Amino acid sequence: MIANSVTRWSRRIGLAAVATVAALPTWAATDGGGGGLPQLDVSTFPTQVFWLFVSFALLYFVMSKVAIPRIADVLEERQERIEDDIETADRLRAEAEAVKAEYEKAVADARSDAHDLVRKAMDEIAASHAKAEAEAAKKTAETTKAAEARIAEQRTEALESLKSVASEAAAEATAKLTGLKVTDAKVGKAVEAAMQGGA
Amino acid sequence: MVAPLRRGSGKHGIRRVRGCAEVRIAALAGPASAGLVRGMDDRKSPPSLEDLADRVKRVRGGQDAARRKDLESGLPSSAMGLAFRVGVELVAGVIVGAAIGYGLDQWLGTKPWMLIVFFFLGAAGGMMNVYRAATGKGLSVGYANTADGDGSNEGGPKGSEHSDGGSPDGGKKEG
Amino acid sequence: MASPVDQFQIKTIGPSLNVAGMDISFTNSAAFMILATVVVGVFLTQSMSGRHLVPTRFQSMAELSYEFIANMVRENVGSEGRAYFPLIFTLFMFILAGNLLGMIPYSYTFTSQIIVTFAMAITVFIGVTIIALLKHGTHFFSYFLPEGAPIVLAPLLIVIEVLSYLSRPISLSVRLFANMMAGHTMMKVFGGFVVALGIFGVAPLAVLVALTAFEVLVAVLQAYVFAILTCIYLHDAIHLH
Repeated sequence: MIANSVTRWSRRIGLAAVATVAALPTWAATDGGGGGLPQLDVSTFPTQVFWLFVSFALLYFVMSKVAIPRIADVLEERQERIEDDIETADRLRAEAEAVKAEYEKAVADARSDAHDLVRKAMDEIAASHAKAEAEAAKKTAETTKAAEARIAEQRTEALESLKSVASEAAAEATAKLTGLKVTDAKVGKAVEAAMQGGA
Repeated sequence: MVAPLRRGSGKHGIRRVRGCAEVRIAALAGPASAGLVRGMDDRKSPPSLEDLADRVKRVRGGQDAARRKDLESGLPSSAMGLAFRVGVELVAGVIVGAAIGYGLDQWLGTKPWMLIVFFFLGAAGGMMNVYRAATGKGLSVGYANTADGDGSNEGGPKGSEHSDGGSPDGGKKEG
Repeated sequence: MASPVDQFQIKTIGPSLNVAGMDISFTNSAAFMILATVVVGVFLTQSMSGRHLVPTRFQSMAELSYEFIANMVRENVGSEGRAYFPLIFTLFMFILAGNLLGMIPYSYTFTSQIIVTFAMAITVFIGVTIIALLKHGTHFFSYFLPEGAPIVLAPLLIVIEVLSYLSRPISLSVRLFANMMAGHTMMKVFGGFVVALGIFGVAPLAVLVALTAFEVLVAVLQAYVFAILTCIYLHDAIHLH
């Protein structure tokens, strides 16, 4: 009963489908066959519907149990892997940047250390230089002073001896010329006065 | 799309970063390893870290952009897809109307009035469907002027995506 | 010359089976349904069996079709559509395989059978209506009452809306069926011209080549349209407005 009404309904729908197809221009151009469309042969409907549901159910089972989980797994795995790789690349980049910064800091430190060392050495050299110079100057001054003192002494000595020689010579010359005996004191005084006057 | 992305950013990128880090470490180690550094430099100078940062950013941005593009391609709005849909909608409405009219005639014995009435009602229903398809309202039953049904269909995800995409830009401008 | 619609003839293969007064003999149509199932099943399972991180050509095709339908479901149905994804993916691949297998010479196109497309469409339609009823109960019927329409016109508009709702399975099935049948009939007609015109058959042959390319496009497009309309109907059922 139900099957009968289903068949009747499907026939009606089929009839309507003919109207549709006739409305399509492409179909209108090719409709020369006659004898009705094989698609509207109601006797083939049960077998087609039956096999449609059998094959579709089979495919649905295979898809939902095997194919779809497998594809989803692989896609998820890949997505994770890609994100992981990007993450790793970023992390390594950050690490490399840290190393680079460290390196640059070390270089800068070394440079400033070297600078300090050079300056310190220069300072030391300058200091020792100045010290040596001062010492040398002092020594020179001492030597000069000593030499000057010695010169003055010798000069005094020379003058002293010159004075005695002069007074002796004066006394002797006086004695010889005038026959007078002059005392040493007098001669000395006269020589001194003459030297002072002469000088 | 996926494969070149991998090739670009994955193995090689990381290998180069490692090479780069090694060079830096070698440079730190002192003049004894200078020869090693020179050798590596001669083979291939490692890309700069800025370059790598750019590439990481680009790959991440590319993924986002691809995702956004996927979201934006919605219904088939091409003329061809529309043409394929519209022609059949009208006919289907007429078929259903005629079939129901015919059935009612058989049941109520009012031949042929129900067929005629439902033929036109079916045509009207088909036209409603054509109208909805042609105005890009999808094929939802109900009137287009309610608008929220359609808004949740297409506008919703797109709008939220735009606001998501917009906020970092705005933040950047403010900063 | 044989009629161009002879290609749609159903032929029984092997013994005729009768169950409960219904003829369910194995036919050429059934053979290609099973073939489509086997092709899709083997394609999707075997291409993925390597589980390559960098996909091979076939794996890439399988992944692309998966992502294509996954995006379609996500965009058109929303997050609730996840549960129906296997069904829509199966539907798409089954129709696509049926359409494309039909492009092979001497094969049979089961999607050019109105009863096959109608059975799929009515199943989708009934399923979607049940989902809507389960989700929204009697509120579902407010669907047919246009908001803000004059109350005098309401009965007329409700009838029109119901008709337009009921025309869904018809439009869904007739669209696929008519496209496949028209295309294959045209190809047969032009094929007949090529043979009949002898040396001058070059002109229809050129048309036939173009038509074949077009038919491949239609085969894919119609599978896509069937799948996306299923998605849209599902979206309507879940979100109602």
